[in-house]
Amino acid sequence: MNVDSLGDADPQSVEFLVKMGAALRGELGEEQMQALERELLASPQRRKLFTEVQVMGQCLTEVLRRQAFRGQMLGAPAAPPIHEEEESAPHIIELPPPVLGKPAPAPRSRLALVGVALVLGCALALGFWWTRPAAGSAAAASVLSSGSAPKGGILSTDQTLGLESGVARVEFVGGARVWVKAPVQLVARGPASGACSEGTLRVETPASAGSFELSLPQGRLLLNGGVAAVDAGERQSRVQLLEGTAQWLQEGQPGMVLEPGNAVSLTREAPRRFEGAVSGPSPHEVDSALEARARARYEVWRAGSFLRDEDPALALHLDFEAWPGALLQHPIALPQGAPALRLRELQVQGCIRTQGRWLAKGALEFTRPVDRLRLVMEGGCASLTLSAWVRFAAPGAWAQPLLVSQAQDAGSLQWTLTRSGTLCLEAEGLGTFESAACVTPADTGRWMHVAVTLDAAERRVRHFLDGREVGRSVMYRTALLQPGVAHVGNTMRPESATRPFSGAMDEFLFHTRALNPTEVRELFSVGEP
Amino acid sequence: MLPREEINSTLLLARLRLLAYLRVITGSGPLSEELFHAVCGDAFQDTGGFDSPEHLLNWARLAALNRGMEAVRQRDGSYRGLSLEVLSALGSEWMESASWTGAEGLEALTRCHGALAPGHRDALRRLHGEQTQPAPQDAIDANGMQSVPRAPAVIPSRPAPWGPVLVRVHLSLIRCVQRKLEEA
Repeated sequence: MNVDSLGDADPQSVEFLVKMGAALRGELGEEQMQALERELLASPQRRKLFTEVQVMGQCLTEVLRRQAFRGQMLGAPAAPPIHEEEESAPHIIELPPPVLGKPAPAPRSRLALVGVALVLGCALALGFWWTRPAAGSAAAASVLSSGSAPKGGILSTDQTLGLESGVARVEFVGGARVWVKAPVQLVARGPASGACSEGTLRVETPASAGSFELSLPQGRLLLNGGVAAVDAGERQSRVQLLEGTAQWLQEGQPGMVLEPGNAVSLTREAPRRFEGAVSGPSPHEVDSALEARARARYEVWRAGSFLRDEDPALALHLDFEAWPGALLQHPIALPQGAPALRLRELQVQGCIRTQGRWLAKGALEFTRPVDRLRLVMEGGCASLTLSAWVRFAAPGAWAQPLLVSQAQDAGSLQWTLTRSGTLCLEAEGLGTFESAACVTPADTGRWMHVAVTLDAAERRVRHFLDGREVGRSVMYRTALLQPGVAHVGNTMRPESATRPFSGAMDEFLFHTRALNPTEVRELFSVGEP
Repeated sequence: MLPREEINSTLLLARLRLLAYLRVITGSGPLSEELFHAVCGDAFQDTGGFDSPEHLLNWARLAALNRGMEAVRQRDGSYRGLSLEVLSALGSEWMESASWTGAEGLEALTRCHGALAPGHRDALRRLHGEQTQPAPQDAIDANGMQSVPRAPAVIPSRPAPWGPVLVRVHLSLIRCVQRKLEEA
């Protein structure tokens, strides 16, 4: 859609809406305001138009928030915040034409530099340092293979996905999707570029994703909103453009524009067109296989989940399965023979529902400072296990609360991921128990299982990451643990330096006994995506 | 009487429309979110009082109007936005308009947004994109549950300006989404 297609809007309506915008900003004089209000009251069409445009603005906020969150999960830079100085500056009217036939804009554009400078300036001014991974995530890979998959399904920049057998789907941060069939060697060069030395692929770039660059041993394929089948090899590669437009660039050779249906054979010599087809993996088959595997794992988790719920020491199990959405006071059925610790009330404040560890599984997304789950718990317990499946959007950037009691009374709890990447449980009156540093910025965007057990009988606190023990401390006294009013994913302690959790949470369990390491490992292995 | 689950689902379906209405009153996205949750909280306190979804939505709109104006008075000292008469007139049409706020509509909007020129997308991001990094601690404290929150310092309390091009982009998106929903 370019600016020409926008020209058919009624000019009077456009002028009216611009004036309404000025009215909302308090920029109109009293007389102008009254005239505008009279117009609005007299015309149902004007009211409808204004309403629809405002609702569209809100829907766009929602869509952009989801897109930004997805990008943040995969390590793409977050959208710069709106600043007062930007607000008062003349608004952007210059509209560059859609980019076709050129690679995606380099991140060194002026706008990006201004955005980065503003974010850094604000961060320094506020004494807040945003630590981004040195090598950002470039893509997420879903792999069905007997070989090894990338950790957490995330491919960092310049990381290779090498498969001896099986299939995989790789989704680049820039929006391109690549289906691959083993044997294959695919390197994620960046958010919108990859390299393949051997293997068969199918590459799709939606129009909204800009262009995608695939480097082959013989040269580079620039795909601008289209679909291509590729059979890559060291001595010879073959490419067929199925939809859209593409260019082939080879050193020492003139560039070649490909049109839908064109098939070319590529060697170190000049590229040659040929009649025939290049067969790439079928997206449908790969996706079906991946979904079948995910469904099977999801069913295994569900079966285990029902069994776990029968544990009388389970005081709280939030699986976010039947969660109605971002709403409030969901009634919780207390388990039979509930322990002394009881959940009295649960509220979801903010948060939106998102996809969990598997396609069919729900989770909650925490993106804003107000997002949180508020628990009101009565009573207390001597031992406990807290465990959760979480996906951090920015581990290491700041301390992230997992569960924090609102008041700092005796027996209150504070379970956090610290800025240095350690898991930390602070029980008021008992002490602070910290693990070794175990979560790094490279873990951005991957589902991980975190757990802590506090055993009053053994006087021991253990931290776990992905079923593996990452810290053990001795307690010198015991006390009744009383979470009271507590928040999951946020803290309401005014003096706390902890900032809100940023990421997604798929499952949260609160046991009133210390699970043993084998049980924690089982929680991980059954729930592993 | 409306069961609890239906209150929940009705408010969720109306969430974006109510948020947009609150945003017109308050000019602030984060404040609107807080007020929306406060209105939902009120609705759950009064679960015996709603005869139908229409009754609930009408009540929610009025509650949002009252809470929104009160919050602006607390924040700015006085309310100087659109008059109560205009807001009431808008409110009665608000809940009936814009059928695209459901999941299918948002999906269609995502596709339409993806088809915009990069310059348009960038302008919309600057206008409607949220700050996704956590705000500084003072702003977070100001968002405590017990008090009416102020917007974080880096988020403007007034809506950003809309020029004619941006208005046209919004109108085009409305047409595009409607067309996609009709095609589906």
